[in-house]
Amino acid sequence: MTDEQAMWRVQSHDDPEAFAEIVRRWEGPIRNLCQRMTADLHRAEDIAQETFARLFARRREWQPTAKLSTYLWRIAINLCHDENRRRTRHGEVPLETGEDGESAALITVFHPTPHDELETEERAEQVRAALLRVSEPFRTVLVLRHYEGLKFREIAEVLHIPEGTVKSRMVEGLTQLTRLLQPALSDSPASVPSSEPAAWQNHSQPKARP
Amino acid sequence: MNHPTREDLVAHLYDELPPEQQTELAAHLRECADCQKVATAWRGSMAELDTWQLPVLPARPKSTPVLFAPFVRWAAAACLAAGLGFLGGRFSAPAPDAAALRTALAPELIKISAAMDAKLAEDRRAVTEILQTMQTQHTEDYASLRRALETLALNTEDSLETAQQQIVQLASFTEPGQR
Repeated sequence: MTDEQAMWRVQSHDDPEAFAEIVRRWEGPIRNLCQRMTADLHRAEDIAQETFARLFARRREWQPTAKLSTYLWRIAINLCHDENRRRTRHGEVPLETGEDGESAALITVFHPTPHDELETEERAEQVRAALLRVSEPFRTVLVLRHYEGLKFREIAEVLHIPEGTVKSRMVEGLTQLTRLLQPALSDSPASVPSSEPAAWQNHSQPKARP
Repeated sequence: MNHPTREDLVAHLYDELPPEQQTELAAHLRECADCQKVATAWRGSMAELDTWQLPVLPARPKSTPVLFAPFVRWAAAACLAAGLGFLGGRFSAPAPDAAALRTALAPELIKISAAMDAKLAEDRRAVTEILQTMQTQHTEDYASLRRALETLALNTEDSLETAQQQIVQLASFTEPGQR
C-alpha cells in the first residue's frame, strides 16, 4: 500500500490501521526534520506528534492527486516555523543572522581534543548552533535538501515557491553557514578560503559573467 | 570565460544538473580558481553539516493496536491452555469400547425414541384439532357474513323501489292552479 493509498483510506474510511501505517513510516523523517529545524529533540517530538494530529484533523483537505509526503513536510515545516517564532519572542533562541551575516557572532573556534568522539560531538554542536543562526527561510531549504534529501523541485512544491527561488535560498543558506563556520573550517585540515571571491560577493550578480 | 551562476553551482554540488551541464561545470571548476574557491568552501560547509548526526531511534514495531493488545494476549493464553488440556485428555485416556457402549445404551435409546414418537403423534393430533376448529369457525363466519350481505341487499332493493315510486309521483305532480 502506497502512502497515497493509505491516506485515501484514512480520508474515506477513517481507517485507523492505515493511519498507524502512515505514522510508522513517517514519524522518523518528520521528527528528524523538526529536530534539525528546532535543534531540540523534545520539542521535535512534540511537533512531530502535532504534525500527525493535524494531518488526521485535516484529512478531508488532502487532495488525492497530491503526494502525501509533500503535504506532511509542509505541515511539519509550518509548525516548526510557529515554534521558532514563539521561542524567538520569548528569547529562548539566539537571533538569526541577517542576510549579510553581520548580526550574529561567529561560532566559537573549534578546538580539537585528544578524544575523537568528543571532538566529533563538539563539531556537531557547532554545526547545530550555526544552523540555528541561519535565517529560517534559508535554513528550511538547507535542511530539506541536505538532511532530508528532497530535490530542489520537491522543496519548491512543499514551500509553494519557484524552483529558482529554492536554489537562491540554498545559495544564501550555504553562504551564511560558511561564514558562521569559517573559524572552524579554517582550523580543519582541509583548509578552505576565508572569504568568497570578490566576483561572488554581489547578490544581484547577472546569470553569466565575462 | 563565462562563470556559472551560483544557483547552477549549488545544483552541481548536489548533483541536480543535467549530465551534460554537470560535466561542463566540473570542467569549468578545474580551470577557474574563483569558482573553485567558492565550491570548496561550500563543500566544506556541506561536510560540516554531515557531522551533525541524529541518534537513530528504534523503529516502532508494527503491532496490534494498544487498545486490544491485553485482550488478544489473554485470549491467546486461554486458547493455548484449552488446547493443551484437550490434547492431554485425548491422549491420556484409554480408547472406549464402542460395541459395549452401543449395547448398554440400546434399551435407553429405544425408550427415548418411543417417547419421542408418542409425543410427536400427540402434537400432530392437537394441531389437527386446532385446524378443524379453525375451519368450522371460518365456515360459520362465512355463512353469517353471507346472510348479512343478503339482508343488506334486500333492504337496499326495497329502499330503491320506494325511492323510484316517490320520483315517479313527484314527476307526475301538477300544481292545482295550473289546471
